[in-house]
Amino acid sequence: MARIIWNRPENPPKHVSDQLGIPHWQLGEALHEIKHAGNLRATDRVIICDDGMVTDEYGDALSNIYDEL
Amino acid sequence: MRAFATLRFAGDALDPDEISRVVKEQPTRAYRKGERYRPGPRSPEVTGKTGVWYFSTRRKIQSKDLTDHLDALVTLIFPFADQDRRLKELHDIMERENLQAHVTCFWRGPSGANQPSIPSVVSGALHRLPADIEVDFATEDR
Repeated sequence: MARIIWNRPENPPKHVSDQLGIPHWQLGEALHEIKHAGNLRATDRVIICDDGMVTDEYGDALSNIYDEL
Repeated sequence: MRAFATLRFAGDALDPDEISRVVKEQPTRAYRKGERYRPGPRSPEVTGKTGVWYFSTRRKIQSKDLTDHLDALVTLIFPFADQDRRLKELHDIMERENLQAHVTCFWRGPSGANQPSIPSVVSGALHRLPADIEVDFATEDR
């Protein structure tokens, strides 16, 4: 069962990228792409799980961080 | 230092092929409202909540200068010696299909680095579409 590691609107801090095992800048790039390809704004809240899955605030899947690296 | 920029058109009536035909470029990702698509091998199938045509310079332009990335987006809308024909065509589609256009700027730099600015000629050109501009700038000091 995947665990939620981020559930806020702002850019996630380094401990989130550490849990995903990727550099912080890489998480920032991937999340920027996921949000905007999903027609969200930078300030929209997203949920990140420890398997890389990203959903919008309603729990609808957007993409996986590892697909955007 | 990392930089890239994105352009997206969005709206319920968006036809991705129509935008690709006008800008003469394939999108990074595009889908119609209600279309099911898979963003990648580790992602599940996703249903488009609205239509989106999305283009990112991240894998297209190698430069660390954000202006180079923004110039690439501006060229999609204002190709050389086009006399605003493409702008007018895009504007007509946006009006007819009630689409919105958004440009985003991504920049990450080292601690203490000066954040980039968006040249006024670029913001002026994008506002003619009209496209809003959203910035995502940060330094890696956390």
